[in-house]
Amino acid sequence: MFSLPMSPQVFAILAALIEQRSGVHYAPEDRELLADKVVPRALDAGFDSLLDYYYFLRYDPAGSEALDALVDSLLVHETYFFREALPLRVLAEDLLVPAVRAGRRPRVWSAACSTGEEPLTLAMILAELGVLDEVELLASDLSARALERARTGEHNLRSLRALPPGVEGRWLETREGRPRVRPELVGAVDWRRVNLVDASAVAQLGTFDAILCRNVLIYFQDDTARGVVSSLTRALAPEGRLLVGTSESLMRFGTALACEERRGAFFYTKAGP
Amino acid sequence: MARAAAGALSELGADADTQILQALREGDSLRRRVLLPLVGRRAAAVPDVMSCLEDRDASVRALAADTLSRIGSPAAVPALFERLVDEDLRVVQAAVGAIQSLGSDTTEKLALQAARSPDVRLRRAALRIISYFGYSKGLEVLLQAMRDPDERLRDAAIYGLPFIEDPRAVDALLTAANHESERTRAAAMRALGQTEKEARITSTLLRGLNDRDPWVRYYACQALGKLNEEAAADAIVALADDAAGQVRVAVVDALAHMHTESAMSALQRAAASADADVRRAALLGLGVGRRPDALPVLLEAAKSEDAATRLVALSAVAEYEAPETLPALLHAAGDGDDSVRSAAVGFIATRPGVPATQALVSLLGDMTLRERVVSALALPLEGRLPGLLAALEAADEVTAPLLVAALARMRRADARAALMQLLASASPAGRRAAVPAVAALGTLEAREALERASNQDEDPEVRRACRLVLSR
Repeated sequence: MFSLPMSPQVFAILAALIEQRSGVHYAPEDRELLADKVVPRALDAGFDSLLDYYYFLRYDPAGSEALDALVDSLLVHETYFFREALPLRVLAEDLLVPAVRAGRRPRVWSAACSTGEEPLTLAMILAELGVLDEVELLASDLSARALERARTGEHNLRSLRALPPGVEGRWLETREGRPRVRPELVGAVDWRRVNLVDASAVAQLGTFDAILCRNVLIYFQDDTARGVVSSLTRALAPEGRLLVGTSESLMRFGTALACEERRGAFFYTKAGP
Repeated sequence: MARAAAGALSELGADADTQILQALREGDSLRRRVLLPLVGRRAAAVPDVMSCLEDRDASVRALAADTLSRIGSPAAVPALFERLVDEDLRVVQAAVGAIQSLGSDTTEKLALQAARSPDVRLRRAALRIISYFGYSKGLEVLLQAMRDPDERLRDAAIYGLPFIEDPRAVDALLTAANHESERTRAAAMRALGQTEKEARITSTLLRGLNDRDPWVRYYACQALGKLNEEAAADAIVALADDAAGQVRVAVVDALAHMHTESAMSALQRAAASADADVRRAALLGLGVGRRPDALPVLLEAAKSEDAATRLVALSAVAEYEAPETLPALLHAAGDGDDSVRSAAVGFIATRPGVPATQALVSLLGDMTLRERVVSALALPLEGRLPGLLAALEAADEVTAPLLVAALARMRRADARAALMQLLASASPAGRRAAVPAVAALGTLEAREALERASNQDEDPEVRRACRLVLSR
């Protein structure tokens, strides 16, 4: 196929640039995969050399925006409603509802929300428990494109594949083949664009009673993941909880958080004051 | 499932062609995507592959264009021209690539016709094809496109001009170098780097070094380097502290083409720059020159904290035929970064000689590299065979089968002979490992050797292995 060659050297510097911006790591065997994404963009921008395109991304005033768009196209947006729902339900029933009953307004952050299915699932659970208005929900992603989708409340049919009975019709409805979440749920979430690799951007968000960072760390190298976990730990309030994906573990990062099991769901808890 | 079936069909080789073509005709996009790479190089396949150019999945359409290029039938050219207006850029790229690789008696006519289309995308693709073949009749359409208000069309025309042998083409490039559009001036500078050295070209490029647009300066620098215009070295060095990062890098890149002492010392200074891109460009440039005095700089950079810099330095070190080269590459094969490790194995893999073979054999213990190392050992380079046979003499039970696998994958007469020879070697581990590979040769001579070993080998495991394969 007609293409621009991506030498190991150009792959190394491009992959380093992408990792620096997004934390997403590309291994040498991913060279072709990355080339497939980068080459059409380089050609479209009028470059016939990927090294020239790299310098464009790195130095041109328009490069930063082009790099964001490239990173956006590389991110995995695969998610669905009620994915690994047990920890969300336990979080809501065992921790958030008691906090509300105690007169507090807990803050929860879905740190890599993609097109919004995770925070909206939590919003549905909280609404069902009658405490949605008493919980502050913040959802963020690096992808501006995914956030734009999330803010519309429109999703695709694949996102409904684990939907429990009673949700459709009550919290969302499908019109013209597109599921739409009720506007009050979408409006209950503060949608922001945040780069998890950027510790100062994370610090600016304040502290949270719970942070959801599920199925994200798997895309990072250990050093990057360690840095992200440290930022998230700092963003947790005392006794705050961090949720990671069921296939992820913080053990190898030597975290200061304590692993806690509640009704079959695992949380990493920050020490109290 | 589709992939597993495709894998099985692939194993069948040419015998599977009929089934593959039928599946292409009847299959959906997913099956076509899996099967197209398996289509053999037979003219009979062309109609079925051409029908995939209309598939609803863009990746199938692109793959179909790629497959037609691989089959090599010029009859597909008109259908490929129709895909130059595909909505997906990848398909257009693949179609252009296929047309360029196929060539045909009708290509020139079709390209000239497409270059006059009102559709700008089609014209742009057609200009690339005209440029690639350097059709002299295409000059008029290129010159006409250069006057078009569409910048990208002008770009395509400009890139094509250096490939047309006509003095008017250079005249047009020099005019474009003064165009009011920065993009067009940059494209002209880049294209001038593809021409032959001429005084008027050099002076235009020198003027380009002072252009207000950084990309014009970038390509002017690059072009002067490509033309090896050593007289411009001072003017280029003057841009070493340019405000635009890409220009600073282009300075280094240009100097790498010039073999003067001042260029070399500027490169050595740049290799210690605080800017990682400048440093890497300098390292690459030093590698291109292969001067012995640059090697210590490169070896030092191969220990840099930054993985991308280590990789670039290593690729430059690999250009040298020096005693330090192989140890440095071998050391990098144990690097903490997988890109560096993988590249190091790649560099050793392409080096001939017994020492390189021995270095690869020493890496077989690393599970993460094992498959790559076996593939590298299977490359039929000078020194591989004696290196493998020597290693087999001392190999243990784990390493011997890997070395035999490398020999078997070479698929050469001398490698097959070496396998036979191995069955009579002094190493029991080597003989045991050789048995299934010798059996796989399937020759009468191999069977006789196995029968002999099944009765006479002093090692009972070898005798048992021989009897086992003979009984199948």
